[in-house]
Amino acid sequence: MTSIFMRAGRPRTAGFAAMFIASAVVLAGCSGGGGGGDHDQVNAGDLVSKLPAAKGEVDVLKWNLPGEPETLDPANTVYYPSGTVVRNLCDSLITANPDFTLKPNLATFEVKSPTQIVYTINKDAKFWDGSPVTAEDVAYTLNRVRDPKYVLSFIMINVKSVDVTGVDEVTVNFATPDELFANEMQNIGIIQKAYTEKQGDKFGTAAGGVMCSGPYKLGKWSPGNSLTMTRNDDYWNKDVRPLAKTVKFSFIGDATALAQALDSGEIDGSYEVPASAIPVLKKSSAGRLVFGPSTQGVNINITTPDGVTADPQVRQAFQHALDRDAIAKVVYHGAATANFTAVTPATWPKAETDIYQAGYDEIAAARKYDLEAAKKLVEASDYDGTPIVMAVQAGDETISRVAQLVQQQAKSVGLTVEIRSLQPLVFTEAGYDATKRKGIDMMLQSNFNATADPLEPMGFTYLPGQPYNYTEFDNPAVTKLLTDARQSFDAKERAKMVVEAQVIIEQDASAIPVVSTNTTTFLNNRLTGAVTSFAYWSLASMTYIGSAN
Amino acid sequence: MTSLTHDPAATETRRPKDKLLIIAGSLCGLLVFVALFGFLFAPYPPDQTDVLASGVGPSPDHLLGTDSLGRDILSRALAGARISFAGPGLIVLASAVCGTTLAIFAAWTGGWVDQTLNRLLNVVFAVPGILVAVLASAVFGAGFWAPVIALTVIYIPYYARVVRSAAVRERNMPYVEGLRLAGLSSWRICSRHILRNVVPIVLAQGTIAFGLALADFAAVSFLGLGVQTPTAEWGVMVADGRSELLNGDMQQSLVAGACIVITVVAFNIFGDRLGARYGADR
Amino acid sequence: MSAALGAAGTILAASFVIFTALSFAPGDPVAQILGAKATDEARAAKRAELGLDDPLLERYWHWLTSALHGDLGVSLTFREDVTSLIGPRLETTFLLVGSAAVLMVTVGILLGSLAGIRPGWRPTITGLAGLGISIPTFVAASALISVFAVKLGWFPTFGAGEGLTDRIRHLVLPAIALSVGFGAYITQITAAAVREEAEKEHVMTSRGRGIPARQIIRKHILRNAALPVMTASGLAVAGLVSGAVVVEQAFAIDGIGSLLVKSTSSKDYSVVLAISLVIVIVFVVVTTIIDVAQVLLDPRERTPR
Repeated sequence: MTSIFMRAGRPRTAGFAAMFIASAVVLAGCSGGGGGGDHDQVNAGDLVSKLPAAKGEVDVLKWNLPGEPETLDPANTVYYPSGTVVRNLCDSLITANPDFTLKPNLATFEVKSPTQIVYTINKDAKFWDGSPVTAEDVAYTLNRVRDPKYVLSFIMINVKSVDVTGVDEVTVNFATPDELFANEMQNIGIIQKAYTEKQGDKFGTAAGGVMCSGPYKLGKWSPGNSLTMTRNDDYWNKDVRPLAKTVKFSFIGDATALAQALDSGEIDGSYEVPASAIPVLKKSSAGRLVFGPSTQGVNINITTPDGVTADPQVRQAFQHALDRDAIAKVVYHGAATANFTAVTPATWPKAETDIYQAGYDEIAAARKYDLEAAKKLVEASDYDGTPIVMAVQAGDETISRVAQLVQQQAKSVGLTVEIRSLQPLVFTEAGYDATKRKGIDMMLQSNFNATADPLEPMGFTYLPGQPYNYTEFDNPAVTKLLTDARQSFDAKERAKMVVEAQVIIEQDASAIPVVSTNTTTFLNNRLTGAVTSFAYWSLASMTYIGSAN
Repeated sequence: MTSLTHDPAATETRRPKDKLLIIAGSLCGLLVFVALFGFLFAPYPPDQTDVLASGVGPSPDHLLGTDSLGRDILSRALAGARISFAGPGLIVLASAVCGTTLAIFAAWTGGWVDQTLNRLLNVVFAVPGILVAVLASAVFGAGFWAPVIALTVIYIPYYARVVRSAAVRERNMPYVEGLRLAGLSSWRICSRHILRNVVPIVLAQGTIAFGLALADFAAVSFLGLGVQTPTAEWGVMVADGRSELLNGDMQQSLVAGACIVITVVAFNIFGDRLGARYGADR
Repeated sequence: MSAALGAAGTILAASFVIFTALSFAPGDPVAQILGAKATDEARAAKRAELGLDDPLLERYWHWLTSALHGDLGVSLTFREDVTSLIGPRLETTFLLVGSAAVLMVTVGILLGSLAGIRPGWRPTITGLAGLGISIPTFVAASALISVFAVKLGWFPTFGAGEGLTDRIRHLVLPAIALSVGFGAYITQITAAAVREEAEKEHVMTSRGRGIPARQIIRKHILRNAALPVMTASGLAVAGLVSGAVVVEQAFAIDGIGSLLVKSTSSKDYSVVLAISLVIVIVFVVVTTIIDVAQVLLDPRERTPR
């Protein structure tokens, strides 16, 4: 079973689950940027999925990544930097539009049965070296990813076989039906078999490079300094016309340094602009800062079935004690919105928004910022002043600031929170290994509810025995509702059941939602066209950006 | 550098007044007082956030302004003095005890023990402190203790070298021979007589080392490998203030930086003058 | 020869201690490589592939023998040869250290000599040096960024730049921040040494005989004061290398210092070891050179004791 619900450590880890963005996600406030190049209305303050289309070519586009890619091997690209680069280099079978909808790319496909999908490869497709993209290459790529040593192997977990079944045809058979597989194909870049085998261990490194068919070719990668892509002038897909001849990526992870580089025009743009750089960049005359829809959120997750936080009154006290709007404003400077349920609103399927919204509003009202209510809850509880240990990831400035505000707000209602910084490795381990969570009552985590279906994250957290069910939550009613919902084909019925389950789940409050965060993009005024929703991570983002004049 | 310390207590009173010593000494005293009791004078609790007054400049409410979470910088600087001093204090104390003991032992025993210890200290000396601090934070986890342990190890040779040469000098003094002939045990001679005569040197070294250790301890916090951020500590404050610099809010970094520089200067001068007075061989 | 042996021993001991310390540090490198999502089987497979479950001594021996053959291994996180990972960053760091060294030695010796020769300047310069020696690099960095990069906008604050002129422009502030403390130290040593020479008898008599001051300064004072100054400069250069770690963090320069901190937190053994070795080697080589030079240059040290 593929896990959909992602609890990530630092922001760049969170990019991981982006691969599960399914077609139906459309977000509140999104002005609906379609694919291609239609002009969108850009309203300041609203969430924007795409900037107005670019008008002309540029020679060099200088783009920043939040860190250096650790690899360009498509089988291992799960972080922000590597994903951003690889989507531009390597075509996948299908790809995303700026509004998260999906479209065919290297292949079209047909679901023959719940356990069989047949892909037909585009005949025009060819690699950078001019050789055609064959069914062999596609089958090789997919079979290679099945090896558990590759990070993306979990996508293939239900796959029984991948075979070449015709000149341009690849057939995937499943051991058990896997409705998400088809969508996940946007995240596996197709590589050339001959080149990959020739490079061996060097494949995907600065020394070995990659051989793909995408709109950009890999140029020079100087470790520690920069990575360059050059336009693939013979790109097989004539509908896509990249405007920048060269894209040069820098790897600045530091907020202060990045803000200065963007403000001075030394770098043209960046996704994932850190929160602390936002105030400066909002004022910048060099370019504009845009907030786009994303499915990311920050929750405080109770991480133990025992201890002080086992008391439901203590949990509810936290819900009332948090001034979420203040956190969104002071820490995120607009890159986040207060959020009241564990599943962020961005995760709701569009058609059933009304049902979800009603359920959400009820919960939000019931746990609004109310110090008196929180104090009463604390007094009524058995809480004796024992410090509540909250783990955060060391070195993540934004999360650390959230933690400090949470600590202060909890203190004002009589709850003592002790912040414990864990080194990134230890923090990540604590996310999946209960023995590493000893002595920790809660963890402040970024999470990713990246599918259109709230059922998936809920299933991963609130069913007995699930990996992220830290509190050993086991409620027969919830289990029944979630299981029934999964088997229901009526979207409305399903939504109602999920909302009903959510009421019980949120009553238990094993997660204290804090904010949902937005994709934050900065782009120099000389340029436009950029995709600014989180879909950027699932498409060839650099092909959209070009001259504003 | 050749003035021998026969009996420091006897010569002390006859020296001319050293104004710099007095000024620096009083400043150090004041700083230690702030470190011990400064939090009592803090106008606000150091961790209290006030999101409505975040990142404001100096005002009657907040004499040194607030940081981006609306915490009072003066309060944080005052309260932060405590940990900023506790770290280097422990480092200086522990390394002084270890360094002096090792040095006297080596000087007294001589021979291969002395040589081995000397070589070992050279190895420690060859490993840059920052490397040890980085590793310590990986092993013990970032926090208060990792830099304390790392820097203690790093500072041992700093005493051992100086104390050893002083102790060797003492060992060769006639009075030691006399004591030995009188039948006193090695332990007694070392712990009572030699130790007493090297103490002024250790004190002078320790005073200077305190300033250096304070800067190093803060540097480790600045790197994010030491004391972690909600805690008020000067190095942490400089690091926290870094992201505010771009907005033109430089008060936090500069106030914390100034605290560090003033303390280091005061202890450097005080230690230097102490050393000059008691003939420490720098 | 014995100096070289001692240096090699130091390096060997240091590498073993670092290797052992890292392996006892909590955290599984696989967590970084595979992320939080991987299955337990995938993690086990990865650990086996990387040889992380082998006994400590075996892994160390493996690393040591490869290192002696010039193979520093492969980075766990980057899957890249450590040499090609470190090479360009080493260049950046050495450029930073080099420019800081030039800055600190020139300014330090100039100011120090001035203070030593002209008593009128002495209090100002020694006062400034006393202050400078007390300014930690990270404090200097913050102050320089706020004034010269943010307020005045003269210099960029980040990165290493490209091309020589751009690189130098990027390195001005970091180099200044790095050289303040050690520059002040060299100033103090130079001032003291020059002053001591200037007050010596033969200088006084030469002056009495009407030999031009310029000549006295060059021939007698500076030449004789050179030894302590050189020793101090050598020590300072060695110190710069570790100081660079802090400065690189402060200015977000992707040199070996930043890589060291990053790799330590992801337990990337081979990278941490390689960088540590570079730093220790520079340190040991510089101090050994100073020791040797001292013996060669100082007539008193040359005669058998």
